[in-house]
Amino acid sequence: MPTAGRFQFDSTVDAEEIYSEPVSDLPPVESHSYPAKRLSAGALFCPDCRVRLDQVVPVCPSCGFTGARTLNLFPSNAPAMHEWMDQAACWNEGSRKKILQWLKRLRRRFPQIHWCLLSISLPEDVRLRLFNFWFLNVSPVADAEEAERRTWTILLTYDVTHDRMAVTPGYQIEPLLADDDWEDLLITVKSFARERGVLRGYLEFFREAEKKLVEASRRMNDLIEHREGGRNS
Amino acid sequence: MMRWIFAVILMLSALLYGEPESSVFSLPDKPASLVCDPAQWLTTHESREWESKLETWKNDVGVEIHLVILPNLHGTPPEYVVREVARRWGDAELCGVVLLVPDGGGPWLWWQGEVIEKVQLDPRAQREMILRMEKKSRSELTERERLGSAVQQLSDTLRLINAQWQRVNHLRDKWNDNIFEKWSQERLQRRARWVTVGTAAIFLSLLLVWWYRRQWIHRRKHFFPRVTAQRRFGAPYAGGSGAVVSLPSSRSSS
Repeated sequence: MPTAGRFQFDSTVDAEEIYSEPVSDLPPVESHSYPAKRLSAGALFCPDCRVRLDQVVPVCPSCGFTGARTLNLFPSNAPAMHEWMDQAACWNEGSRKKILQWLKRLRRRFPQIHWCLLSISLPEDVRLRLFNFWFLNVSPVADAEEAERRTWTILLTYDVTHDRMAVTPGYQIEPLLADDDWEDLLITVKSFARERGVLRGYLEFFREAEKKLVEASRRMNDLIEHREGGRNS
Repeated sequence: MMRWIFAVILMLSALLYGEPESSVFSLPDKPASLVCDPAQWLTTHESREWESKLETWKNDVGVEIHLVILPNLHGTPPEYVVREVARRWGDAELCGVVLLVPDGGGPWLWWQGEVIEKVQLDPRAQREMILRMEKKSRSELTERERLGSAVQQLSDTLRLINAQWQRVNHLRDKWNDNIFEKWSQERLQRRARWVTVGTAAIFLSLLLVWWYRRQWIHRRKHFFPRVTAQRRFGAPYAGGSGAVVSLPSSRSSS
């Protein structure tokens, strides 16, 4: 089990409080919202054992995974989440500018979606998918608005020590792209990283992600129009 | 009183200088050749020579000269006769007449035609030229030599006038050709300019449309519907979906 000292963040927050609340006490969703399952691009899986979930469950029926379990895996306190978190200091100024330029473009085209780019050095035994799950959920939010924004956040983590990358979307992003789509995007990074470096891989990731999100936007609008058209008729 | 005097003078002038009566003199019919010699003053050989020469001039240089030899004018002024011959027999474009009355003076010359007007020959100059030519021809010793001199001078003069007219025509045609060519070139340039400008405008318009469309596509904001979050595992913001991949081993990420 990794210890808190092996990956340090600056800010601290008491993560225990996150999972101490029952699910029913979580912030209520707005009344005008569409059922995610109807619009979902793909199936849901347990982040731990990767078993397919047929329904939304508080505990994985296969491995018994819960969010609280990640608190044991990562006992340190998570810092506040920002768009640019180069904890491993792996990007120079030029690379940073190029990446932030792309993020600016994505923010302009998809105003609802927020990005968090994290580079970090993690121990080898840390499972990046669970780390992302943990960080996205336990990173403190200042207010309800930020909590809402968090569900529209995509966390892209780069483990510089072991050359791994993971992407984890918030709940609002989940219906847009399936896990296979995210995997395709990461494979794009991998392909370009092999030939032309990780920076180029990042930029191609954003380019392809833009295309996929545009396509997802059209698909969802079509679904909603079809659904509402059917209801009206 | 003055009116009566003026009327009498006019009547006398008409009697003295008016057109002679046709009963006194009548112009013979137009002959088949350019030589009119009803009295056969010329020998047959001479007549044929003149006919041949005059035909050659007419065909080769376009100068038509009628040689008229009349035995008697019956008092008709020869100036009137040569003009009548030219008016009735001559080519409308350009023709000359040499009139000879054997033992009656002469020869008398005249030429007229549209070409004279076109080259804008001053009538006074024409009259002066004719008088000089008549005077020069009359300086010859025999009537045949006078006739030959008159015909030759008239031929030279008419050829000169005709050449002037041809040159004017040539210059005019050349001038017209030059103007037409210049106009054609200008029209071509104008059209080429319009085509170039039009093509450029169309190309720029298409480019603008393409650019605008591209900008519009790339600047268009996409909004997603808010969904009911599928909260699971007690997690408030994310359910752990997504993907992980191992990159090729590299330490030079930046």
